[in-house]
Amino acid sequence: MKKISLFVIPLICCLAFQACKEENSLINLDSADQLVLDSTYTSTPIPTPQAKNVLLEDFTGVHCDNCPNAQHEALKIINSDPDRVVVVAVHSSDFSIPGVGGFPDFRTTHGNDLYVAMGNPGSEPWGAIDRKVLGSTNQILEGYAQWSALISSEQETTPGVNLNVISKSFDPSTGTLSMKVAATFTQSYSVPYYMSVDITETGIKGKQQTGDDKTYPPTGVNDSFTFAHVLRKMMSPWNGFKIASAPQAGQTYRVRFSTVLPSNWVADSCKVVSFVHQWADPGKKNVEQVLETTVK
Amino acid sequence: MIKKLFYIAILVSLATAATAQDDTKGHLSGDVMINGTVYDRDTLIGTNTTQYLHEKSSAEAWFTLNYRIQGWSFMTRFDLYNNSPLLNPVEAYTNQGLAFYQISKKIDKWEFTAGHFYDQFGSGILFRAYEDRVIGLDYAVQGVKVQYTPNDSFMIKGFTGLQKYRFTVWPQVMKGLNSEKIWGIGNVGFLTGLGFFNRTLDQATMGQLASDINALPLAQRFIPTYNMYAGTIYNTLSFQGFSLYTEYARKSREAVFVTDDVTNEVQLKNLDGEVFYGGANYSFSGFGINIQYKKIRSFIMKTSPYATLLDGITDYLPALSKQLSMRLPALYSVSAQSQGEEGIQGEVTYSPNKHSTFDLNASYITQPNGDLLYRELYGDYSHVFSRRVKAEIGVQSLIYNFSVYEGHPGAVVHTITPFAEMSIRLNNSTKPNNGKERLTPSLRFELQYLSTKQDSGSYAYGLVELNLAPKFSFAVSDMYNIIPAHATPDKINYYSFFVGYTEKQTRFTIGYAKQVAGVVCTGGVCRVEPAFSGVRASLSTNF
Repeated sequence: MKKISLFVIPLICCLAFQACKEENSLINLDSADQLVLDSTYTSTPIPTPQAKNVLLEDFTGVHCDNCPNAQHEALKIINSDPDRVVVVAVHSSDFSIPGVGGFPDFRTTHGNDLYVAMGNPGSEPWGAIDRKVLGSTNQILEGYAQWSALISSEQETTPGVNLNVISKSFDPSTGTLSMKVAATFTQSYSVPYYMSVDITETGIKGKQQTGDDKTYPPTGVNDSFTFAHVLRKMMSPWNGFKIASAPQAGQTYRVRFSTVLPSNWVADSCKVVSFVHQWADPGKKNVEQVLETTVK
Repeated sequence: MIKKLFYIAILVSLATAATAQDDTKGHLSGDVMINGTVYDRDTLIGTNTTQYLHEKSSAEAWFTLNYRIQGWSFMTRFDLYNNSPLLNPVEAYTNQGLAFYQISKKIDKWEFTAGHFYDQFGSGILFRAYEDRVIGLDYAVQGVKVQYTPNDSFMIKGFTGLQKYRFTVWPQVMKGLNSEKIWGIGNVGFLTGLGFFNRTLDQATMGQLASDINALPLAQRFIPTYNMYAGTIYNTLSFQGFSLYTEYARKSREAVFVTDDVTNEVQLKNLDGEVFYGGANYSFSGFGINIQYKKIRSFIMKTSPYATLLDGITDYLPALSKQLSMRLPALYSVSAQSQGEEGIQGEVTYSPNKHSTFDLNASYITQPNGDLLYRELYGDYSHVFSRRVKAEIGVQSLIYNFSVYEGHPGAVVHTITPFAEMSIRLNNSTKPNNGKERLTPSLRFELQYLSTKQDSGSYAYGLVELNLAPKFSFAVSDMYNIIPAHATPDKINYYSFFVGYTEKQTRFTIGYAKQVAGVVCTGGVCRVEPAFSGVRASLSTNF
């Protein structure tokens, strides 16, 4: 009997493992939210590179005491250079689970996956600046005290891609947003490049846990905290939509997409963040250029 | 770190052995193989890989060391590739170092193995880790393996690890379990086996897959799985001179790249797969019959969907063709198509007396849609005229789907290949000559003619070989493109000269050869190799 039990172990494994369900949010099967490579062509002469805009992804959470300070720092950086810094507040990790008490739920599946892909540090706040290893910590995620200096330094670089909005339309009656963005490479690369598109919303009021800092009193819970740059949706998978395998200088890739904004999002406060980046895992995820535009 | 620990363990064991008594004395063994090649560019036959243009020479070497003591077994192998095309025919690969290490210990009914190991479940359809240096395959697993054998009729083993890739490993985790039981009913014996296999994709591969899937039209997208599960059940039935092997294996859905056989377009699909394989043998005095049937439906077993050609294969699918060593009958050899095929092979051997043997073989393999992949009709007759003279004649007829097997467009090849071989021993005496080892001379001749209007056309082949056993061997051969079907009318000679010298267990060979481009197969696994022109030398020994 014992031998028979041992003999059928492989069979039991076959049956048991087959029943295991996996989670995989990488694939975009939603017909309403598709990035589509509309057209490609070569531009001559090769356009002059744009000034470098910097993407700051602020990994934050409603139960993170220090996160309001990080948002304050991000807003301060934007105010000093509003056109060249783009912030996306990615509510992620266990600090974003609303729990009891009426905290808002800003979590997105892609946001959580991105947090894991960026190193899954288990704590917040952290910021990814152009998804590059810039500081001395040899990691992408940096504390908010370093953001200002690192962003200033990153702004001095030359982007290998120019980003421009080709067309944009918004139907307020249906909430339908349609856009076309062109990515023109000003340098050649031998690695694949991806485009990601996020929708953010600023000005959402809700509960936020706070620390003992004086920036956002009262200490403990702020019932009417104003959330800024909240990631509402990633139009692309969290590791981006591949636009080119080895782009050459002068090549332009036009990407179109459309989505319907839910009625509880305030379109006037929403922005579309498009950026072109690498994605090697493990490896470089560098953001070459980012472009922020209003929905309306 | 692991390598250092391994060597410390070996040194400790060697030291122990040196001071130990007889029952604990260890046994050291090993083997060495060194290949060297010098390339001689011949634009006529199309030798244009990097070695002909730049490196001009290459080398490979393997030095294996085994040490056994008190149930312990230590094994390590140094591999060397210098500008070598062996692992990839169009690459000059250079690297060297410890490529294989293994520690194994038997404790009563248990055997534990850590490091690299080779193994297989059943026939290997579900899982096989093996090495074949002829075409640069090394599918060792780096991990741990445990086997429990409570008695002679039952065994269960399991492993987990990563597949070796050159001097590193693939990042995808594999694990497997296999049990076998021998049992019987009356005079009928059974060996029944069960197998389970699982491979998990790493995040990087999944990210790459996701990018590719998201670039597909919406209707073609699918959610890829990290895990692929597969299982097999197999049985061998034996009754007197009859044996019947049957196996059914099935795998779960996963992302795989499949090639459209008509357009050669590669597509990413989410496919499950299965294999049914059966083989029956029956033999009695002077007569033997073997029939095999196999049906494959997308049974692509790889560590990663991005592993190309022969890289990363985790199983072995037997080919339904006669394994031939003669130059022209083996020119169009086939391997099993993991994307899908259905085939049957039958072979009859009949020896009416001790001087004569007939061998007849037929293979018929189709694609899942019914299109013909391969058809072989083969027959030979061998006759022993005397203790000195024996001969063989035969003919082979093939239909070979060139574009599927060779991976680029080409017309279906039809061939008829008659062949003959004769061996003549010139002196029967093996007695020592004045205390010196007597050399026994013998001659061997081969004549073959491959007739076809497709591919590169018809060839004639002749070989003369002089053996002075057991030490020397000399051979001259030529494969002549007698009726070329190229755009150019050149009638190319692919000649070769060969010398072999054997001293006890050590053998040295050197030869100059020109070799036509095409499929090279070993054990039913094939790859397309470019033409060759140059000098090859090899030294091998064991101790």
